[in-house]
Amino acid sequence: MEFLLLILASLIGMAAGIVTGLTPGIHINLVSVLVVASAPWLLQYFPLLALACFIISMSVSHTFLDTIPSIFLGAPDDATALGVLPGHRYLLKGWGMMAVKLSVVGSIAGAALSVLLFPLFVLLVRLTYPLFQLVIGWLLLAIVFFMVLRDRLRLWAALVFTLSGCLGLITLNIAGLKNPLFPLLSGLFGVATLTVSLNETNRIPPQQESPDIKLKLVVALKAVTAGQLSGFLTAMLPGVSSASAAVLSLQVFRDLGDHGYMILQGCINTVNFALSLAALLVLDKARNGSIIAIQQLLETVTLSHILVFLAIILFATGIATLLALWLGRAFARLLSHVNYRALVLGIIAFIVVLTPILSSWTGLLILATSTALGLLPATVKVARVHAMGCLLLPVILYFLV
Amino acid sequence: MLSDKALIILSLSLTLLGTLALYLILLTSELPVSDLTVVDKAHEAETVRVTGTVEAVRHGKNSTVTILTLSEQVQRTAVAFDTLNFTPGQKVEIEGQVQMYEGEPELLVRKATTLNPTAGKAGTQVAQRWNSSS
Repeated sequence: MEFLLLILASLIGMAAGIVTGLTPGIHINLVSVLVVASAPWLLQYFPLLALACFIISMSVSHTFLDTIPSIFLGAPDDATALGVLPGHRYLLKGWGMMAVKLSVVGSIAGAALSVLLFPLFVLLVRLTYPLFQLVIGWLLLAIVFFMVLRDRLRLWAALVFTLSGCLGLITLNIAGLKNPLFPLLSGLFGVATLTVSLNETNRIPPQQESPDIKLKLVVALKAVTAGQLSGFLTAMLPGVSSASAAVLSLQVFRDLGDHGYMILQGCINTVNFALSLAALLVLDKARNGSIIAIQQLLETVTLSHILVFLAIILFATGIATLLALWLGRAFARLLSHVNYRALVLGIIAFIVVLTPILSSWTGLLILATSTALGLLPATVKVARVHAMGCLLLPVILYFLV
Repeated sequence: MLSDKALIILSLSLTLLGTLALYLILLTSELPVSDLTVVDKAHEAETVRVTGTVEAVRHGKNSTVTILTLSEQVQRTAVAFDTLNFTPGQKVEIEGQVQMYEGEPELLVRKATTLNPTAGKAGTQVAQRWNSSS
């Protein structure tokens, strides 16, 4: 009976993952918080472990599906921010579905390899974390310097990082503000990108539903390896997003091309989530909102819990693959029939309406400010990843000051 | 349609204006004062401001950790990774994060203030490092 409840909870979690993955601004953290808050009522119908499985399957299916709006609408969250430009290139050639397929290939490979290599990652985290811990603040600072210096427009890159860092510091310290990350990240990466796409995209060409993909095995292998490395970095270093880790990995694994890039993006998000379980098991530290929610639900996470979660990851991977392909096609078809501008404006309006509900009126001011700041990278043509300073600077200051 | 230069100026101006306004909100924002019952599992990871009377004070071996036992309807532990000079009997106001430690709720102190300074050393004491969640 408990087994069936775990499966049922995972299936419902996947349905929630469809909503969070496809709706810009609705983050899995929000649903995870709701699950924790409703736990006393939910426990009448489900065991505690089933609630955790709900969160796991929702998070996995989210990582498969969140690339769809980022490709078709240009509306990424922090994890997919890096992939917007290549994804948009595919869209403008009528190959949006090809980008979805490549991302799904990355996600499948990422999930399967993460589960397979999980014992190795546990060992690596256990052995290397004490070293990382000693230098974590300086390491993060070095990463920031590296990312700024590699940008063609270093001054602008430094300015975007500093301004977003200050905004993050202020926002995260406003007393009593609920869900500060929602307006902050929605503005920097969501509304700002949607506004740019409103300005630049007048017409989306007809989309091919089943484009052929010519993919070199070497490129795919390099992209998946880069994804595993990036996922490991995000699991070890707090505040380092998937996008920042990808920038670092791309220095090691060069010449991935657009195909490899989309695979890397799909891979990295799934690996990031799977390996945060290794950080939880070894370090008892949460690296994302879903894991915090699981920690709050279970209090003590044991190896048996982790084994169940890894099985749920595989289960969710299978179904999320089918969902991503089906929903990707539906999106491609939808774009041919709806007014693109109206759709984007509708999403912006949705985020604006949701902000005061989740984060009070101060949230609207944060959303407006972060949107204005989020427009800068697109306008001056520096990498959007510098805006991750909103999380990186507070984390660096925590470790160094 | 706005030119790139105009858009850059507009973005920067709005960013600076908004950041300044948020900074002012940050300076004036205050958490509502609650009683010690708010330090429980339901409020885990939330930042709260509570008042209570110091019942006992313990310092770590190297004095970098202070453990306060507070009471006011219920008894709770508050931990500061700093030296706090409070004495039993003082009424204090503490701002910090609720966390669970070995199954019991406790408060990780960010800022602690004496409400009746005559009973001991006056003023606000700030814990240097208060967040161990990373």
